[in-house]
Amino acid sequence: MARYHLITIAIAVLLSPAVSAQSADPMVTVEMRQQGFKDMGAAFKGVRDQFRRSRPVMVMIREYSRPLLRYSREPVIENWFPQGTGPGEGIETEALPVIWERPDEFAARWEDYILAAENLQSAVVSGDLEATRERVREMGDTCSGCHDTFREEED
Amino acid sequence: MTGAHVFQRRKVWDLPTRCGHWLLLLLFCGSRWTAENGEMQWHRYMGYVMAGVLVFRLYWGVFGSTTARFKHFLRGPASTLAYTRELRRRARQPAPAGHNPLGALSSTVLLFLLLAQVCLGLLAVDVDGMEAGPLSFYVSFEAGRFAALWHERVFNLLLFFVAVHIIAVMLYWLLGGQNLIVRMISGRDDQPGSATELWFAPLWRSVLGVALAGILVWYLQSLDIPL
Repeated sequence: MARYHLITIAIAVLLSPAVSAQSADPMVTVEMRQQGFKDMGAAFKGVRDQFRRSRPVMVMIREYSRPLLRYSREPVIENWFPQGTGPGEGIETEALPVIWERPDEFAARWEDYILAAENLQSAVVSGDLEATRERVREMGDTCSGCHDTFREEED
Repeated sequence: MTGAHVFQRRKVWDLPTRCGHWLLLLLFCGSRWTAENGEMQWHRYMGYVMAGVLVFRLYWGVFGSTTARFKHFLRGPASTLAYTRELRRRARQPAPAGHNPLGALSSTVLLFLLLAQVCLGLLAVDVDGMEAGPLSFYVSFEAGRFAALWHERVFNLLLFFVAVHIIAVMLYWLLGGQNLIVRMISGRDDQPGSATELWFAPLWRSVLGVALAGILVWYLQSLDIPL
């Protein structure tokens, strides 16, 4: 048994530099969250664009909205916005320091997003196009509302 | 008395060219203001009208009056350079009717950049995927973001060339004593009596151009379907 313990410890020791190196480099986290938000932006554009058609296709809206729901179920605040990943030396990010200065407010905005994603999901499942339209509007306002405060302004 | 020193007030710029010029200025300022203040629906409307004015200007550059035609004012690098070398002397003399070679370069660059800017805007998508140009429907989120990035860069280029344009006009005024602004409003200028005759396009030609621009504006706004 002891041997197995040793092997386990050895593997853990071997792996630990990789794990700690990842968490030590804030840019890895920054790039991860940027990619996540790009996915969400792309998903939202897909949903929004259906309403540019003369007849929006509900199945397409459902498919495009999947990442929006998926990300709403992830511990995004903990994983994407740990301390030390704000703007600073060697860190290129448009996330504003106010995220870490007012964490409760930021967390509340993310709760808004979770709610918006769930509401959108229910509307999509119901198949009611007008209700979905309203929920898409709400989600758009949720995104831009948070970005207004916590993200660097787009020029 | 037919020397180059006898001047007479003559029409140089026709009404469509002048209207186009000042409309572009208004739309440029308006686009900036609406973008800064988050009035994106108005920003898009201004972009569509801008596209219309630009298409009219291109049409007018081929089928319009003499001084508006690209053929009349586009010069090669050699003659532009030659003009630039003599600028100090030439700026004090009455300019030939229409654009001088430097003015031609300036307006061509501005026209080109404005065209690029409108095209980029039609494809651009904002960071949320919410506000977007009407043609962004045909491109991916990434491509739309790329267009938005260049929409911003080209705007900065435009600011630079607009500044150059304004400074040049000011210099002609202060150093050369020529008020090009009044000339672009009234369309008239003192020209040597011996200057070559200018041809001005009849009304129906501009009506055709406006119709062409109108169709484009109508088409673009028809693609802009609100959520």
